[in-house]
Amino acid sequence: MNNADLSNKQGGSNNNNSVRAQAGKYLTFRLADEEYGLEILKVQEIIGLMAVTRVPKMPKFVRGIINLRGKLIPVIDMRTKFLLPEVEDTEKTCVIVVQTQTKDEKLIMGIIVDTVSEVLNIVQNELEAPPSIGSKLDNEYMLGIGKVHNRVVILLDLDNVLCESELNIVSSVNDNEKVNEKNHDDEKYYENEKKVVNG
Amino acid sequence: MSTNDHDFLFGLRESFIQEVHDMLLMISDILLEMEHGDPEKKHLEKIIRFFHNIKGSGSAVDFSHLASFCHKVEDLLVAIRVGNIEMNSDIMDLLFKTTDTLKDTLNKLNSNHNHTPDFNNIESLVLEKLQSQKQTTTTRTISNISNSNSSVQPSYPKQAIDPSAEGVLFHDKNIIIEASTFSEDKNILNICETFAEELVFADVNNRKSLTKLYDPIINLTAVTKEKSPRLSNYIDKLHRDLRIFITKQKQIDFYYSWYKEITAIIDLIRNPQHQNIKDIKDIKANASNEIKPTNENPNPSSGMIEHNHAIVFEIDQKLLDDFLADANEQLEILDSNLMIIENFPQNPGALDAIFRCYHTIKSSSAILQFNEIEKLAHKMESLLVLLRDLKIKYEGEIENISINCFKALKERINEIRAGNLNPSKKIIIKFNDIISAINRIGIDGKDEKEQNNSSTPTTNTNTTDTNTTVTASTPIDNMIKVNIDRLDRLIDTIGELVIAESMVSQSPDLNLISSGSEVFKHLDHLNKITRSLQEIGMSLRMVPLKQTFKKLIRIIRDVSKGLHKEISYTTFGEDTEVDKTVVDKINDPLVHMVRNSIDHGIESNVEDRISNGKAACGKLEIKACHKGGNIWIEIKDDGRGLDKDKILKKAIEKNIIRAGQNLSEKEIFALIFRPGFSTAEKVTDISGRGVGMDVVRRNIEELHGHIDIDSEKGKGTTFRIRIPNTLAIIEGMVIEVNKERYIIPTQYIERAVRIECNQIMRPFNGGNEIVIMDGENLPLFKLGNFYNVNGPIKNTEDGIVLILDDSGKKIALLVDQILKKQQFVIKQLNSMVNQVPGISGGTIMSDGKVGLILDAGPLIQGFVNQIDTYELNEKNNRRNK
Repeated sequence: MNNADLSNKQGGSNNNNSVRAQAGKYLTFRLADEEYGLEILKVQEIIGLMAVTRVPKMPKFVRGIINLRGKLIPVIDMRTKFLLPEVEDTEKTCVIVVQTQTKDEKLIMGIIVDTVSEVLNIVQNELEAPPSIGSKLDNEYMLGIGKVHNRVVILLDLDNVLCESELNIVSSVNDNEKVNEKNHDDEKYYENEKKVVNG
Repeated sequence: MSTNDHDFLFGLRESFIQEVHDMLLMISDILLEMEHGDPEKKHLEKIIRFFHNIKGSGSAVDFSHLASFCHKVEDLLVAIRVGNIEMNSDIMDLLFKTTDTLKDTLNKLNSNHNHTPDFNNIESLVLEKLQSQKQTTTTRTISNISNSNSSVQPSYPKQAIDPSAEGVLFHDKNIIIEASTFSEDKNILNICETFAEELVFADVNNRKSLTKLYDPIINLTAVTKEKSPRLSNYIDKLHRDLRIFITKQKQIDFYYSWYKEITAIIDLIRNPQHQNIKDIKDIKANASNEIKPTNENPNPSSGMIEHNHAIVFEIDQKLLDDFLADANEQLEILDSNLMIIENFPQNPGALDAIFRCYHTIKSSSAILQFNEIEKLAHKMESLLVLLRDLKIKYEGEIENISINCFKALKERINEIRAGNLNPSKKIIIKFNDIISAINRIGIDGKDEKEQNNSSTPTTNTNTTDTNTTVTASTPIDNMIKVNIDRLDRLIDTIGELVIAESMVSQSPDLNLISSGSEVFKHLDHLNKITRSLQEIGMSLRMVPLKQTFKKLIRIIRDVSKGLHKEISYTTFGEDTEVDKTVVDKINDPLVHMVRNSIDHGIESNVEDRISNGKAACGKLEIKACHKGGNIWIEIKDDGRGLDKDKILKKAIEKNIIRAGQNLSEKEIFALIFRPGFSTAEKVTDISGRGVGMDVVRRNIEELHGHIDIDSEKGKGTTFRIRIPNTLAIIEGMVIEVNKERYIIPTQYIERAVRIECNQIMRPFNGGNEIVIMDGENLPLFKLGNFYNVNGPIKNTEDGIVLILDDSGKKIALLVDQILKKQQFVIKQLNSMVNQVPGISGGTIMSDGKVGLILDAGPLIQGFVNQIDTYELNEKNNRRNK
């Protein structure tokens, strides 16, 4: 399973036109104007948005932690993650609790989406490879594209979207931007201080 | 099917590992006891049974490496029991090492069932011992031959030593060839197998139990007759020897030499290819040796009586609990497989599973001497062998027997659970009915008849035996093994319930209801129930410190031996219950501390001790108790104590402190926990690198604990550790920084103050502010800034300053306000968010939201390290001038 994924991934990066998605049921949700799909087996449950506790020093797309019946799980703001414009939460905003698989562990986390649409059955001939250009998202994130009737659904590869290396990269980028700005300032102060004292 | 089988095997292995783990613990206990001047044979027998059990179930779950290793150890132990190897400290060490190796192996097997254990090292040691024994026996027996030649003709019946049998047995290779044909015959092998097993469980001191050996030996005589009449004759002679031993009150040595012979023959049949002629010669030598004791007066000597007294087998409560839990499990497996086999009589998997169940039940009941169960299971096994070999079919009569057997067994187990260690008459009758029914089925009519005749009365005698020897025991708790994940989920859910309850009972909407309403009464009731539920939940994870203490005793033994120091120890409060996670984590630090106490604490020179007015033997005390929601563990030695001057000197040498710094006694003692600090001149394999105490401090901090040292030069040192009862709960202060709430464990908080303008010092370059408190200069840490909280208070005077203390390092932490002090259940953070500096975990607050727990220790240390306090002091001095 893992190996297959890996080789698929490599195939995907070499050849952008491969379809990694499989026919089956997908949970679709909306973010801004686009419709996305998740493999149904990855979805644990859907819950309404509840009070989120911010975790400091995390990349911006990590909205924080919620209490899911006694378990603490992080929630990811998908809009921020996909660099879409931020909007106020609405009544329809909800959290999809998903199970992702990284190299060595299973993680349970929530993703915040604008609204959940439906469970869609996509058959093989409705699947298409992700376009090689013209998409904001990296092809790594996509399993493929589903064309059902007149709708286009982007099928996400959640393991890749939420995998830790991805988080680390983004977090270091964000670090350089502004999240830890203040902290860096502090450090500079100490350095200055020492210089002054030593001088 | 195959995956099913795989799963089944996996489950079996899991329980096997668990079981062996428990057994190893018991083995080490017994070994320790033996070493402490109690080298009684009964201990040895217990250990042999344990190893035998491990071997048996090990091969049942396909851990053949483990099984063959245990077999070797068993050989060694039997040699010790027989007296061929003398029990000395070398052997003791070897046995300890063996248990260690097995423990390691188990751990590895636990994570990977396909792990191939490497026993080469230890195995060669065991073999070496065995080898030396072989040599001594041969030399001894050679001298015996000459003895017996010159001695008077034995009173022992002459025809017993059939000259033809002897000739074949000991001069010919023919016997090996003949024996090799036996190894192809499953029936014979089986008989040998069960015989070997009976031999292991046979108790020399209880001659009645030896009568059990009649059955297999008669069997063996019968089955070998056809192919090798000479061997058969010889076995028959051994049979008569055994009867002589049992009835004529022969010396115990007689049995042992007999034992050696019979095992040699069994081994020969089982694996003739491994046997060489030298071994056969051994048998011969033993055979002639064995004549000798018969010369002796059969009247029992005074030593005889000693050997003869029956062992009162005290049933260990834990053993019994384990047995019952295990038996239950086995019965369940049996039940399901009986169902399968009823519908699909040809299913070999189910049959094998049943076989394994009975085997496990047999061996575990043998340990506890539930002889009637053992007997029944054993009989059932022989029936199953017939089934497996397709000699009979699972139908009609056989089916009835099997079901009846299962029912009877279940009834008996229930009886034991109810506290009835001795089987009731009803059960005995049932058991005997089944056994005779099985005997009737047997293919070899004549043989089985004989068995029938002898076995039924044996069961009776055995059961009456149990009646007299088993001491009455207290009612038995029902045990159930639960997966820890499920337990955690239960505790999580209880936590949720507590929150939900408090949210309901504190809801402002309740004000709308008139105060006389029934609702409040119900709410009160609900509150009580949730609280007791919470208490139960917490108690589920509690385990006694007993095992930890046992390990420590083992360490004391090893280290004191390695250093040639004599140590006596006392332990106190080993029944103190602690959360499972705490027990797991506290082990390491305690081990380090005990090692340190023995290595550094206790004087290496006995004269030093005596001149100081102390006993030559060093004393070590380990205590544990509960006090105020904490566990206190104390390790006290009466050694030379900590040398303050030496510590100070070393610390200055190593640049840990500066010369001229004024330190209190406690602070000086605390220096020994610094990494790299050691006053030892030499690095030994036990201590001296200055790592141990650092590990101690770190581990105890991880447990949110605290360590304290009391020491008096020349008198000794006491380490006192305080650890919260559970890792799952901490007491914390909720603080707020602009609507964001964080929890600071109270152990770090020295005090909370509102400070005046003149207590704050702002560096001229806009750097870090400094708070002056009672003459101390504390760096000010603004939590709001550090965590980038939007709009925290700007002025230090407006907020509240918490003085945090982590082993001597202090900072002032600025927060907006303090909300309350409360107990919190610590929750693990998802690996995605657990890298945040200064945050150790999360918790669920009383309103159901998530709160983050500050890991104050690293926060303080990290912050203080950034600002060198020394420089601050300097600056401060300059400013004051």
